[in-house]
Amino acid sequence: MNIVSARNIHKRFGQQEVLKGVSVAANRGDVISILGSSGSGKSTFLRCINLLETPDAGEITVAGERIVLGAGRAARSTRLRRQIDRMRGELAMVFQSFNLWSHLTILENLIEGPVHVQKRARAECIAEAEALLEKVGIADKRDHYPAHLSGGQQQRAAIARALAMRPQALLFDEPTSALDPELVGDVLRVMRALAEEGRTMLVVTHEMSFARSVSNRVMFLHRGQVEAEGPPDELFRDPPTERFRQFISGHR
Amino acid sequence: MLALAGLLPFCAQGQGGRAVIIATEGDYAPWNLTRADGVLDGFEVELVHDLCTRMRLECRLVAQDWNGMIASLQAGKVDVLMDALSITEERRLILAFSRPYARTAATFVALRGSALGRLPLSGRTLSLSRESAPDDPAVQELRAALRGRTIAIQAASIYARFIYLNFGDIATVREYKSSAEHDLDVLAGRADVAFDDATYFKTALANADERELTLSGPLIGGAIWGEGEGFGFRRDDVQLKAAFDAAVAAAIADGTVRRLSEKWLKIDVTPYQLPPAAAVGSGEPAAPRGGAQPAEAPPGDGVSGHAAPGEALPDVLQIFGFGAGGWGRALLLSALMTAVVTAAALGVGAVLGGLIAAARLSGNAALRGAGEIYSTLFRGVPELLVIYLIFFGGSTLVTRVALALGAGTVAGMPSLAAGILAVGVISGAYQAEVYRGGYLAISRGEIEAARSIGMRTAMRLRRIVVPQVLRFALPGLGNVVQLTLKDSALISVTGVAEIMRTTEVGAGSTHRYFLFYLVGGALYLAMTGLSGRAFEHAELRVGRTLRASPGGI
Amino acid sequence: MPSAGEFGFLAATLGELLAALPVTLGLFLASIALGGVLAAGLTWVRLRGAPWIARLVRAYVFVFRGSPLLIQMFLVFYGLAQFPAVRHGMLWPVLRNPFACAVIALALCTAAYTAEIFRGALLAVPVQQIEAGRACGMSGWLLLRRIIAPLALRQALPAYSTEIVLMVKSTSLASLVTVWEVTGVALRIISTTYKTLEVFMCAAAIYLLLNFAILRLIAVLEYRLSPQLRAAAPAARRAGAAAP
Repeated sequence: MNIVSARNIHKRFGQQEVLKGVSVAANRGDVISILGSSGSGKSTFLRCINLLETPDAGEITVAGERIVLGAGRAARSTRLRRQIDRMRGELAMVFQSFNLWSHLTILENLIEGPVHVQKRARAECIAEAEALLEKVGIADKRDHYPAHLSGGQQQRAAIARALAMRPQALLFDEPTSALDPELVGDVLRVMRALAEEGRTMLVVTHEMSFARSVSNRVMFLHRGQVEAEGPPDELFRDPPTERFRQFISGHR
Repeated sequence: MLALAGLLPFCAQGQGGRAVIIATEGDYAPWNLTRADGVLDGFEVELVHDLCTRMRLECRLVAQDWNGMIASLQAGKVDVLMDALSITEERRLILAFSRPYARTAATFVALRGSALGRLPLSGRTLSLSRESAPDDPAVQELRAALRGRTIAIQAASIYARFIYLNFGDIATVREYKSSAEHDLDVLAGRADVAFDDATYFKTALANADERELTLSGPLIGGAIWGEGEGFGFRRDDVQLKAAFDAAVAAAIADGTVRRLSEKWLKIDVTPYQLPPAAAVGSGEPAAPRGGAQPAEAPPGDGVSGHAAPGEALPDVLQIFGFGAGGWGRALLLSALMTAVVTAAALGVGAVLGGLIAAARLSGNAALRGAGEIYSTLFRGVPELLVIYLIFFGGSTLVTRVALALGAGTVAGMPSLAAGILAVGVISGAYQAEVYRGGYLAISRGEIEAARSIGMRTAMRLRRIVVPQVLRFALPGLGNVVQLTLKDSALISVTGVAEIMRTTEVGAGSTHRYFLFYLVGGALYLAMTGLSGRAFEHAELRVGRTLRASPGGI
Repeated sequence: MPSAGEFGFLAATLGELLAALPVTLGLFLASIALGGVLAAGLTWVRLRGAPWIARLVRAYVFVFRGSPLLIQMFLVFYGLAQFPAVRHGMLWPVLRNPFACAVIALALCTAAYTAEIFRGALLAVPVQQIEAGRACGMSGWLLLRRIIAPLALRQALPAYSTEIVLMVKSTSLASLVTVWEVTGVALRIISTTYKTLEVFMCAAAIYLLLNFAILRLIAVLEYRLSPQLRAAAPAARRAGAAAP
């Protein structure tokens, strides 16, 4: 059964139609890389899955719970908003610019959601958060504020924060684009480890090597539509379209 | 207006009902002054106690800044004004006056030993009327002496009109807000002579700060100053006025006014010649000259018969000490009051500011517009006026509503609460700007991160937005605290004894202006210094979370 | 309900108050100008001067920001003149004049606030942009004039506009030193007529309109100083026109 699926998502900003019916379905343990040049709509698509952007039309299923969005149906009713909050709790997001809460320490960032949104016991959350920090390799930074960390450390903290929510799936929105090249490796190593654990992941990225070696499926978006999709080995060996070929050669 | 008179108890021989509230300034020595222990004293104060006993009225005196007095009377907060009010026809359009209980003379002061230290006719008493003054040979003589000089007067007083009419063409006339200031400017040499009430000068010149001044020229009294000084009432408060009229007549008849006036003012200021309207039923013969009768001490010698001021330093210690007659306790209490008012106003302002900031940031155009109007209005209008509108306008409204609902007593807003609300409303306008700026400084991504884990709006606000707004707003908030602290000085018009009011009352009552203003300024500096320290500390703590490397720049 | 007579009174009051408006404006403009120059000097000294001078400037800022203007004005006007040294000093011809004295008191106070605003704005100019200026071979005065000042000015405007509005209101204290501006005249009318609320309403309307006009002017200035925030087309046109 699909853990996350989005079907026929449409989104427009004013006159511009950004997504023209994009679909994806992830089973448990899937790692899906979403590629595309800037403006292709890949980030918007990811944000639609988490409902940070409300799609104009389409259908989203997360852990068996389904939301159908259509013309004239805005996310206004309390019931719908509750549902969206519930679904978001199952999908943790890692942002390009980390978005750690700057007024909280790293540990506080990790337990904020579990304690206040999921109402779990504080002591249990702290123990779990410490283990997660250990895992991403920044256990010594637990009482520092985000501003004191390097970009790579901040992104690893953000990943730990996402994991602390015990999500069904992880969404990554260009997690390494804002990092210095020498810091990218640390973050990718953590992501690779998560993939090997069998986590379900949707990753918008420019890292071709990651897409190629870690993910088990690749989607290529162009102008709001899926232009190519399939296992990375096939796709990279034999690009189905000229544009995709140019894209991967442009990104080495 | 308000049918308050019906509520007043004097017909029922002072039994039941509420006390008659009498407002005075409490810093116009020797007429009315405040002792260091906070008790009101002076010629008028002692007189009114005598009158209330005569009327068997329960009276309560409140001290209030002059600027708020008329409005207080009209709002029903007080019933009688007592502040050496000169009765004039123009003022009668607004107030009812009792028959006069004093009628004083005016004279000049100049620097001792200066060319004008002894004007012509010094030591003599003149009686003038408005018609006779311009042609009077004495005035002509004074004109010759004052040609080309600068004459200092209190603005909008009856004396100002006389000076303008008779000397305006040959001398420079400069108007001051209060009598104390024209004295100081004669001392400073910006003005050559000052012209004011002789009783005021006699007390003022006796203190250390003004020892260099001397009375000069003739004592000018007579019909020219109008009827004299009377109590002020609401115009429809006929019964209260009638009671005071009778009591004043009796106090004049049995010599009480004379006795008190000689005790406090050193001369008899009894208005023997009664104005026609008030003269009914009292067959007092008109005094031949009609003016003030000097009881002793011809002018020219400023410091007659008054307690000589002590030596400078022990004097200062005594004035600001905590012993009997020392102002230390009053000033400390006033600092406490300022702190309380500021803290409470900041609290009110925080709530209002938060709401206004939210309105200005909201998607609703009407709310945004309303927020903007609030900000523009309360930052663009002088603070004093906002305080007036809320304090006096607001309580007039409350009083009217209470009467309309048939409430037996007039509720009114307590001075302190109204003052706090007024300062809070202004503080709110500035705080709103600070909070708005703080909100705009929050990284959008952090709010999005909160949404992405399913935080609802209320929790997002509480856990993520408000803590960050406060953090970014901290420096701006420090400024608003200082602004509010200083704005709290303006509620002195409502009579709340905070630092500014106590400074002014102390200065007026002791005539030691510089000492009190310096101490008042120092008290404010101490408080702003403390709040500044607190904010510096807080910013440092917060700064640790903001900076990339702790301790670095 | 107001009668014809009351309207007449309001009109007469408004006329009298408006007659005092030039005094208020004169006080405001003179003190803002003098205060601005003073503040620029204070800022420079505090950022560049010797430590003891910088400490002196901090003390100055503390005293003038921390105490009510009313007390400052009283002590400057009446207090200073009590010292014979001042009365016989070089500055007496200036200090003798009430208007000049009021302007000095207002300027001393606003300079303390403005210096803080300037300092904050200078510190907020990104170091990279200054470095970029240096990289083009700019230094000293040129760097200040072409890069730092425009950026800092733009940064300082919102806070400075608040300070300017506060100054307009602060001029209302000048009647303490015999300069009869709008509020002083209002108080004087109240002393003779006792019509507190009516007179103050007229005064409020004048201040509100004045402040509104000043804020509009600043908004225009802010708009002109921030071409980068405007729509692309006019900015490009301006840049094209300004090119030598």
